[in-house]
Amino acid sequence: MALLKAEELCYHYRTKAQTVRAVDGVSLELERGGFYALTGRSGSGKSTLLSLLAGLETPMSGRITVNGIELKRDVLTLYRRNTASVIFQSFNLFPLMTVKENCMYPLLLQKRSERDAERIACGMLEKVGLDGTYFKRLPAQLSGGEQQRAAIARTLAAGTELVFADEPTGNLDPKTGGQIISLLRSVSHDEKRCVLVVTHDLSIADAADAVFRMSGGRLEE
Amino acid sequence: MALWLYERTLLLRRPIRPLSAALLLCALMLFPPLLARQADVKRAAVENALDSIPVSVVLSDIRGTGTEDIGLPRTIGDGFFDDRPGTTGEYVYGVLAKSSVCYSIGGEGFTSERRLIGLSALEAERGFTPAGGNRIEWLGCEGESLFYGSREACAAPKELFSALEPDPDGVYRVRLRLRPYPAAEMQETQIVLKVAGVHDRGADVYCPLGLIRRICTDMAAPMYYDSLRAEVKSNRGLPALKALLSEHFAGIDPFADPYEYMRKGVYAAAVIHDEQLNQTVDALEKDIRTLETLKPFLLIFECAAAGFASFFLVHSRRRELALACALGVRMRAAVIAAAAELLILLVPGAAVRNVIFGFGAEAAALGSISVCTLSGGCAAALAAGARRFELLKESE
Ligand SMILES: Nc1ncnc2c1ncn2[C@@H]1O[C@H](COP(=O)(O)OP(=O)(O)OP(=O)(O)O)[C@@H](O)[C@H]1O
Ligand SMILES: [Mg+2]
Repeated sequence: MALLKAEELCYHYRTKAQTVRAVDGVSLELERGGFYALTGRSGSGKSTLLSLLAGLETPMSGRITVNGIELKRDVLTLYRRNTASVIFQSFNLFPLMTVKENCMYPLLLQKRSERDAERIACGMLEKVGLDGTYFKRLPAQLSGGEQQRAAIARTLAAGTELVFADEPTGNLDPKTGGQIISLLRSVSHDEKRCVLVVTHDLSIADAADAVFRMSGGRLEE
Repeated sequence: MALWLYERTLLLRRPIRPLSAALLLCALMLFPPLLARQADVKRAAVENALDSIPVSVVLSDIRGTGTEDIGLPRTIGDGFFDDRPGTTGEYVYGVLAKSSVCYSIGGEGFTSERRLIGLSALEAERGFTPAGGNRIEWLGCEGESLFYGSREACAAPKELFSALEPDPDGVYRVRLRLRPYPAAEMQETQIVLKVAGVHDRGADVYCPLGLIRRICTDMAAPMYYDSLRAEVKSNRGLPALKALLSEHFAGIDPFADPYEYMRKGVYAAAVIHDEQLNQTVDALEKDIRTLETLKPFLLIFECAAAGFASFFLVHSRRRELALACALGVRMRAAVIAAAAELLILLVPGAAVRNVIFGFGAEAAALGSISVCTLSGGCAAALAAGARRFELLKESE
């Protein structure tokens, strides 16, 4: 059984002037241990689809089942907390929390002990290349790329089965970007988690197990 | 819980906003009881004015042209000295009244320049007040207490005194023939008065008011008061006093025909000198009314200010709230955390207010302000939670 199954998802943005069909009848399946890429031109609806899959928004029609359970409003909070996490296009770190505290936050939400959370968070920060000298800094005291990595570390540290990433390498130099991609790959392949990366980077698409292409709110075959 | 963690971090690491919000809320909570206290101070000042500002009643003729020779009938004037319930005297004290009869010595005729004037106290004759400038030189151990009883003694003019010879016991006595004033009929009587003092004010002889009452009774002649003024005992009794006075006295009417009024049973005008009291009380009551009118507007303004302040306090962190919701914090928990923080921010203000004014003072205002604070914050938290995805897309 697929880990995540989406059927005929639709999401429209209604503005006064017009209705934008950002996601328009998308169906897809994601398997445990898979490393997927989602590409498409700017404005094709990738981020919107991601937000639906990650439970940040609810689709206007269609349904998503994860592990055989349908995502309805009442399970969304726990879904976001325990099952799916997102690396955002803009980093979205808590500005007044240190890098380490930011990484511990989702773990504490999962009711892990303070000590466990600290251990996991520090381990993950080191994996993305942020050593102990960064732990006590606030996000504003990091470069854009370092913030990006801190955000990636926070998402991966949460240990959820589903990881969604919205252009995670956009702010990184090719070498660090490559390291992050291999980290994401190893997360999916070695830890049997499922990673979906939105990207314009063809090298990531090449590394993926499968590539979804989007255009005008629909998936191309 | 992780959300509390962030709230705590916020309070500790960027306290400026929460602190200023707490200060603002404190100020807002202090205003209504401050205003109420101000009104209470004014009310106390009104009471104080009623207790302490002296008010007097002066009787004048109906046209208000003079306060001497008003010809007030005895029955009405006597009411001022009577302190039984329901009489004028119940409301006044320190009555200064004058009444007179005409006198003559030996075979001379009667004129209105020579009068035996009865005084209820020395000050009843304006000439003997400090401002009047005349004095009585008392003989022996006599003094102004002479006027309080009805002894047959008097203060005589110098001219009259110098013509007297002392009796064998060394006391000067004067024999006067008396007729009522204003002379109505030709009753006449005689009296011998001991001279207790000497004055140099005209040809009038001054004696106790009580003596005039007795003389008139003896002559079976009507007695009239020439002038009368008094102090009001308690300003709280003013309305009752005014009602009572209006039975016998008119307000001043510069075009009045006195005889017309007399037929109606109204004898004179009673002027109550409560100008200072009225001015003071009116000003205070105007202030109280202003404060009372201001109260609801101020409260509305304060509720709005509290609501906006808390809304923007939470709104300034909408991104963090949206992020927390994206990471799996329940919206309900986010709202509760925001409300709890606002409650904590309300505490110092409420405490200061309770210490200064006590818990009961303007509790409704305190409640409204608190409710508005909480609603504003919760609304902002709800809005941020609901717009989580959009907010997270915004670049920093
Ligand atoms: N809040 C919104 N209101 C109206 N339209 C919106 C809103 N957000 C996005 N859209 C529109 O929806 C479409 C899909 O947007 P989305 O952000 O999913 O694109 P994307 O594929 O992620 O683009 P990019 O690669 O530039 O990030 C776009 O045409 C965009 O203009
Ligand atoms: Mg996008």
